[in-house]
Amino acid sequence: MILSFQKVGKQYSALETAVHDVSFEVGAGEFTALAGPSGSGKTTLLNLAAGLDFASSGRVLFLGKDLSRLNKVELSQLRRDEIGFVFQSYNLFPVLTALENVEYPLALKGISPKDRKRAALRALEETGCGELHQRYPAALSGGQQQRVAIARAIVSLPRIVFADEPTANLDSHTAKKLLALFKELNTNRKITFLFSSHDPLVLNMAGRIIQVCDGQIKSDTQSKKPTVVMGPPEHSNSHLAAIQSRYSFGHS
Amino acid sequence: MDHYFLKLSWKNIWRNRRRTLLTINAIGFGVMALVALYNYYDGFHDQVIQNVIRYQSGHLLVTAPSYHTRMATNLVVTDPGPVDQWLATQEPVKAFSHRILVQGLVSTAQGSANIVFAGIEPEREKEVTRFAGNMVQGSYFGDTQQKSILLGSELAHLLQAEIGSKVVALTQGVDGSIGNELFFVGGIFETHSDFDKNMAFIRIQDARQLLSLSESAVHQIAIVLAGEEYLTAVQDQFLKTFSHSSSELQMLNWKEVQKPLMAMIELNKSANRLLMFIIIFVAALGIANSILMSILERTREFGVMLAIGTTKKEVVKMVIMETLLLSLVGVALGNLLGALVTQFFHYYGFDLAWLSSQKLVVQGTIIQTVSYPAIQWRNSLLISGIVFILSLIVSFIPIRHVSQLNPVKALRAI
Repeated sequence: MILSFQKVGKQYSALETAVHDVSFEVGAGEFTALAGPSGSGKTTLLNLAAGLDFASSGRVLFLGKDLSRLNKVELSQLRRDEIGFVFQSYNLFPVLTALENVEYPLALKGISPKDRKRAALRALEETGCGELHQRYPAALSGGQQQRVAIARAIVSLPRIVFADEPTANLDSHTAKKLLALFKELNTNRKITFLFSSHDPLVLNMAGRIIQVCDGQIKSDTQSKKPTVVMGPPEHSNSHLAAIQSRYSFGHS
Repeated sequence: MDHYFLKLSWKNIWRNRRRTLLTINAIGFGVMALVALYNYYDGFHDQVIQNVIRYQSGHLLVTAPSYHTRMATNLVVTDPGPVDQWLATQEPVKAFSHRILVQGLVSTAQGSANIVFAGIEPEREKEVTRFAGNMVQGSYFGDTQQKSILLGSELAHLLQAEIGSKVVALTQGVDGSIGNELFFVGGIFETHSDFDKNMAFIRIQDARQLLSLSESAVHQIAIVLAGEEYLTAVQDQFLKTFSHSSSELQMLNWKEVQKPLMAMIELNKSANRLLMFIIIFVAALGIANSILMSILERTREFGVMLAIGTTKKEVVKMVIMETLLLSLVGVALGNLLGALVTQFFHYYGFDLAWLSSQKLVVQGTIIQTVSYPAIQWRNSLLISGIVFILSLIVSFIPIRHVSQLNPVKALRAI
């Protein structure tokens, strides 16, 4: 079990309750979506899961550790080592090239420049952006920027990737391609994904959908139909299986 | 953190090129002005000190105790022989000369004036002070046959004396008798200082005669050293050697003799230091402003950094690095320009006379306002160090802002 929410509540003020009495678990290898309309509490749940925010009640366990008991440095360490993030608006660092952006989490871990560059290039190739590694974010399309952001999220081999509305700013064609990539990484790299989204494309592909409404879980359903990849992957995945062993750092 | 974060910080400071360039120019101009000004004043102070050393006291003076404060004619070193012998063996001693100084009246048929008669050893004095090089008429004790006197140009004009004119010197001897002697004007000097109107040089034996002093008595032994750095060592050595006769001998360095001059230089330096702090503080505020603006513009980025595992300490380190890099570029530019300006004026001189219609007189010597400054690395180091320290201090505000960021709120920032 990677993540466990146990009767979690989050109240910002006496009048504003973001989530209420939420309990669910996310196991390794899952491809789960938190679904619900805007303001339903999806992003709050992701923030709580990543230790960016703290529950007002209940417990959030990450790999069995109660996040409320970790100090700020330990939480940073946890995010650095175990979690990848993909944001709605990509959030690449504009002054860095695609390659340098992907190198960032590895630089934080103190990986040597040579290993860092090699791993970042592989992650970029994996997400279909190998050719674009010298470009700055401003010179990339939205889809390309999100691919670079995914490369940044997976480069340090996290146990789980939190993706907050990752397709919200993309056209449907680009979104389909991107979802195919997510699924590919989930299937081949066994990376656990937890999305927040209300995009039907995402929900259609999710293996499990947790429906959130007004800060409460309304339903938690496993997808019965086999996942349909709704667009052809735009790059070869032949090297994906080998990538874990090729990285000479991080956990296995 | 390795060079990756250094590179990131470097790239961050160039996000807004125009703002960064403006900040760097402000720091650079401030540092340049300070480096050039400090170098100018160092050159100027050095020149003032050299003028006073080479026209008045020398580096060191040996006198009878309390002579310097009382200036009484009977306070003499009766036997300078042992001191002379000791000075001759001291390597740092470049030259030394005996002097008798006495106040008295000089008169011609056309006028009279109250002046100081300096009894000197002409050949030795030439090595100690520069008066010999300031003769505008006649010669520097060239005529050995008669009692020669050298007058300052203003004094000669007052007395309407010319080369060969007779002048009478009148003073009171140490025994209470009235001493008077007839001298012939052998030369007229011009130093552009008060010396030109209130000083006359005579041979030391004539001065002794005028004062009824013994054959070897002197008021001062003026000493010039090979360099300022030997001052303390020679003084200490003198104290050790002559401690048994310390009641009769005293050695003063030029700083002790020229206390008003030192006070003026110190005052000048204090004013410069104040100016330096004001200029650097203003430049540092520019840096803080630049960094604060840059931080406010990328609050969301800081949120992302924190979300993907950067600690606040690492973010703060990065902001500090940006502050230091910005300061470093400004300081490097300022020092380079400051060195160029200094080097230019080192060759062509810099004259501050246009700032004042008055002549600058210190201790009776007119100070030349033209300075030929030299590059002084200690000035550059001092100014640069203070820029870095003040920049970090005033960057406390942006650093505090970053350290208090809430990652969730930062991620929501536009």
